[in-house]
Formats: sequence, C-alpha cells, structure tokens
Amino acid sequence: MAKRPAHPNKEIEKAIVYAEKNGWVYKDSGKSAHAWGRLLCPLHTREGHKMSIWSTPRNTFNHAKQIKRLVENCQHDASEEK
Amino acid sequence: MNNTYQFTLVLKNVNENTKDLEDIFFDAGCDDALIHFKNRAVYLAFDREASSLEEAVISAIKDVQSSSLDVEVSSVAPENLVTESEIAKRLQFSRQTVSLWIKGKRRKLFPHPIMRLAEKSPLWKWDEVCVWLYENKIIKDKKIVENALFITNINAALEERDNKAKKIRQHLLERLLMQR
Repeated sequence: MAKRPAHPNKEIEKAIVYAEKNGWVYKDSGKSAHAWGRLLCPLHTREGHKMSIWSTPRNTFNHAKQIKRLVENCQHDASEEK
Repeated sequence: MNNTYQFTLVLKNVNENTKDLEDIFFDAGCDDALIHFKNRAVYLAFDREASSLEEAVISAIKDVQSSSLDVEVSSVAPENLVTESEIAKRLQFSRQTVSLWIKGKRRKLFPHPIMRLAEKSPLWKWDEVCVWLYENKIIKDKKIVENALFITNINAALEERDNKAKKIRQHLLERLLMQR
C-alpha cells in the first residue's frame, strides 16, 4: 500500500483510518490546492466508490461524518471483482 | 434558525478525470460537500446549513452552476422511489414492521407501489409514504412530509429545464385534456 500523508485534522484523520480498516485505499489527487487526496473502495472497477477528501472543509466535524457515512453505505468488497 | 440539511446533487458533464474538479467546486462554495464518484458519475453529498431544505438545495445548485465548468445538476437525492427495505432503513424501523403495513395487517391503506409491480421488490413513492406515515401519526414532524414533496418537485423542475422534453410533455398533456 502506498504511504499516505496524515490528514492535518484529527477528526478527519480518524475517519480516514476507519475507511482504511474497511478496505479503502489512498490515492493522491495530483497538485490539487484543496483536495487532500482520494480514497478508493475495495471494489476497483467502474462500479466501485471513490471519494475526494478536503484539506480544509467548511466544517471538519461534518466532513468526518460524511466520510464515515459513505464507507458505511458502501457494501463492496474485493471479492466481487471476479 | 439554521439547521443542517443532508442531500446529494448528481452531476452531468463532469467525471472523476475532469481537470481541477475539486478546486473548482471548492472555489464555487461546495466545501461543505463530499465529492464522490461511482459508475463514472460525480456526486456532491452536502451537509448544508440553511433556514430550510429548499434554501439549502437551491443555494447548492446555484453554487454548482456558478462554477467555471460546463456542468449540470441532473437530480437531487434521496430519490423518491423506494423499496420496502429502503423505507425501513429511512425510518429506522424493522423490515417486518414495514411489511405488515404494506400487507395491511397492521394499520390500513398503505399507499400502493407505483413501479416494478410484477417484480419481487416493487417501488413506492416516498412522498406518498410520508403522507401516510404522518396521517397515521407514525411521524409527527410535518417537515418530513414537506421535504419529501420538495425533493419530488425540485427534481421535476430540474427536468422542466429541458425544452425539448417540455414541449413533448405539453403536447401529451394537451392530448390528455382534449375532448373526445
């Protein structure tokens, strides 16, 4: 797994770790000024989920919740790829 | 008084490879949304503070349209068509309870499903279900009913922007109203 930078916000970092525990992986988002990076769900096909995480969202607490919510709603696991 | 409203805008004409997508939406005021992707579509999942759901959704759509991208909002979720299990999930009731309502074994006159009637999991209109829930005092907050109706109407309004479709509809409507 590629090494990823830690998110500067504690709440959001926790949400990212939660996503990783559920099989999501980090992908950098190039030279974006506002996006910290993207997370990819365990299903790496077109049907899989991806999300983009802000470095400085309007409300860090809400952003952390949004991340967790998407992880919970994603029922994919890698075995579906076959 | 402001509340936080959750809803998702489904976008057209952009995808995950659109150049500077995140930065453009950030600068357009969408920093209270989580941008996510599936099946090559782009979604903005908002947690927006506003005086009402209507204010929240309209301002979010305007933010998206104000961006420098040639992007269109195709619809607003949560969508109005729901399965039995989706109804249970939204209400945080057991599937069994919802099933008893539907079968008429508990309470009367649950709305009819309106699509996929012949299939295993037919679809109900969420706004109709909400009206029934309110009339049966299962939900007490009238705002839930109003918000369900708003989501239906904003989606209809978004479709009305398509002039070609609008013309066809107008023609069909005239035919329906015509005297025999």
